[in-house]
Amino acid sequence: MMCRLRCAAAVVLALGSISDASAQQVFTQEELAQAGITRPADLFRLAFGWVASSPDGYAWDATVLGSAPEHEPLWMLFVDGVPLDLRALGRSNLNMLPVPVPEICEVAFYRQPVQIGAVLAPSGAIDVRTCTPPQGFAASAVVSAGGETGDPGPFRYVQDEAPNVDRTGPATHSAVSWGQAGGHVRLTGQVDEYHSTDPLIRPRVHTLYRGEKDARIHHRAAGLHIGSRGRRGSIHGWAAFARLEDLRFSEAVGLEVPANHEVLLGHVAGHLARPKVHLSLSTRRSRLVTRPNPMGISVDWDQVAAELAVHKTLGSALAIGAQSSLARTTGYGMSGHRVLWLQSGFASVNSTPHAPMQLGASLHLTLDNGRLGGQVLATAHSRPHGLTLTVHVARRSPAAVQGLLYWRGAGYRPGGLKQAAVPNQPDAITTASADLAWQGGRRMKLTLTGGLRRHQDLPVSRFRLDYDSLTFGVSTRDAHAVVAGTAAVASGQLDIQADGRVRVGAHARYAHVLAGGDSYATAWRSRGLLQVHMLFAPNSRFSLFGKVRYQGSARWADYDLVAASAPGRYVSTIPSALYGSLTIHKRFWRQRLRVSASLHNLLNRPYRSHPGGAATGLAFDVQIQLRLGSSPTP
Amino acid sequence: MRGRVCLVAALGLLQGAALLPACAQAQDAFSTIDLQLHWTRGSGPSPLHPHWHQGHGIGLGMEMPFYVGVFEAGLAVHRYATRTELPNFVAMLLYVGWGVRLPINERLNAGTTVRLGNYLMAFDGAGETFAGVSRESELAVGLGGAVTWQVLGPVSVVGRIDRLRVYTRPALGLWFYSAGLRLHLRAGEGWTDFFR
Repeated sequence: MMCRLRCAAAVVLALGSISDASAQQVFTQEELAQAGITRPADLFRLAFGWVASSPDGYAWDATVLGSAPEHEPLWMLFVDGVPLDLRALGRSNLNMLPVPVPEICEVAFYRQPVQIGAVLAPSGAIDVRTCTPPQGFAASAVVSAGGETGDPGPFRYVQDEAPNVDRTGPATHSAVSWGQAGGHVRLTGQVDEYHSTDPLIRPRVHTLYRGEKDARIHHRAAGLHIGSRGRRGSIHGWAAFARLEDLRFSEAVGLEVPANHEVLLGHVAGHLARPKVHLSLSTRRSRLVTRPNPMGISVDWDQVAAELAVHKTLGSALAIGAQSSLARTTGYGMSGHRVLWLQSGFASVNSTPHAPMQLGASLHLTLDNGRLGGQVLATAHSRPHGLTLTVHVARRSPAAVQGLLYWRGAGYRPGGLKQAAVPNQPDAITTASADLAWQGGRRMKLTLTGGLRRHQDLPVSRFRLDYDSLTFGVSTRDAHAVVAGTAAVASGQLDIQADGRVRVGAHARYAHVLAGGDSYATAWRSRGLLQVHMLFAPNSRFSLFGKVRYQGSARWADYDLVAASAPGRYVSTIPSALYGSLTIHKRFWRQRLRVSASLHNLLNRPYRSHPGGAATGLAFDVQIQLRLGSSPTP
Repeated sequence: MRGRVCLVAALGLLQGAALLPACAQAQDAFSTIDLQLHWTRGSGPSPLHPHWHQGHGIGLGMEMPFYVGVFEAGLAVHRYATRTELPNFVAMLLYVGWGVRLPINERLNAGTTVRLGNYLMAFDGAGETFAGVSRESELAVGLGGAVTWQVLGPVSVVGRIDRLRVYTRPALGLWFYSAGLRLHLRAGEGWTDFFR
């Protein structure tokens, strides 16, 4: 299941977007429901080729296996084609997304460099497309809840120590909308909570957490979406606010810091039919505010950013565009604020869409705070042979990446980290990648891909971590490095459409470091991944979806000392794990009511994705959705 | 113990064997309802036994034809009496299930079901004497077998045996023997429309 290629051609070049379609995976609203997705970050374990780790089971750090080291999320997030940066402390929590999952009509995962609109995402991207509300009034409400098994039950009265374990939700999402032929209005709201009570992290969490009996993560979000369309074009505006009362673990601090992450954002985007021009203007304020805690630790952070992007297609072969973003940032420890001004301009060209050999190329010139750089993305697809070559080369200032290390260099000291050990920032980061893919078959489609990645002057966040027996956390010293090296990645994917009722998909991926020093090699933590998905849908009202995921062992070298000091609580090598889940999905009442129930980790072997994180056993969740009015359209 | 393991394996095999003819059989999903009322008795060894005695219980359920096999939902209430000074508790299993039925003759049929549900345990006076928590709930998965004999028109008698695993730590493996009555009804149009 779940790898629906949007079009037969392997190269997509439309309105300035370039990608290799064989490295793209699209999930529709129906497929998300069939897979029992309740939160956006659940998608990381559904998408082929992505690896993710989480200390608590709520905030997931993810990356495309083999595309970049996992330390910092170099992939980009787009909502309705407009980029959205949810990062704080160098990490992006997809569960912050102020779009309820049931309002997502389509989400595309890109495993290779892709250009979306005027923006080139060099290490993969996630493009979320919200639904266009149906005509007339419509409303929907979703309630979901779940938990991990292993509660003590009656043995609470028998055992000396019988801790309760994680609970998910309750979470509620709601949306009301009104639409007509020329436009629509939609209002959405989300309330979610998560209990961070795993015995492995609970003592550490309670070091700084002061609040309810069991530590909880609360998420609140609201959004207003207005759209208008006509013969001359379309325009839509989106304003949203998300607040996460978080317990954020970071190696930089070594503990879960109680902090409120607030994101206020808005964008206006539209296109004109003639001339063919796309334009988007977005603004965002992302603020991390530390809640009072007994050790006085602060991770405060505040970034206000505005971005303008425009691109124009000239005929069917040429597109040009420009992007400019301005950001003002302050953080704990920084003297004053820092202003970033990133600009780029591009030109794309492609050959005739139906030619046997399709070629596409996009050249970007960048000016990042006054430093000149550039990127090139080129694809070539031979239709008769089913071969696609994708090449990407970039040389950009570290300011364009804005990783944690960049902000450490600017003086940001989350948790009071010392300033001295941060290495000098390189003038530019150079990355190059080349991927060759072959695709064959129709009902049984096989895709084989091999690729190389070359990184030069890449800053990677590394820490020297020691166990702190007072807090159960880790004491941290910076050990960052600027590294260079080469890695190879190989993947294979099989998609089988057995008949109208059964679909099977399998994906295997392996990354291997070919050259580079120790710091470069250890930055690649996960190496192997195998995923199998099976969908049985005898009709449009009922489905069974099963997925099996095998993840090879992952080495986290920074945790060597901690794991030696507290072996029960920390590990430095996460063993390989087999993870299976099953979702039953049923619609009732002429499709107005939808119920799904999922079982996760069917083998009930404690599954750990982070060396200092929770170990999760068999878990379940149930989701009920009521929808009144017509169904929305993509 | 070995006999009980064999019984679970036999129920699983029966379910697998019955699946093929069930798949081949086209049926009118949700067109009928079988209402069931059971008396239940728990038995067999479990980690609970040193501390609690499994008492009697009752069950109320419904069964409907599904696209393949049968769909069921219901609840069962079980009583546990303490053997020591620990609190007594009442447990309620709220479940949905799927199974297959194989006709043996015109009046007799046998079937198996797998159940998935929530086992909610409410403890007597726990707030005053123990950890301060009076309720706990946990995921439960069950496998059962039933024999149904039609005695008069829509009325049948049913005998059941169920194995229930509740995912507490340590896990509870419970056996239940049940006997009861079943009433076969034709579903109304609104009912069928809702479920389809």
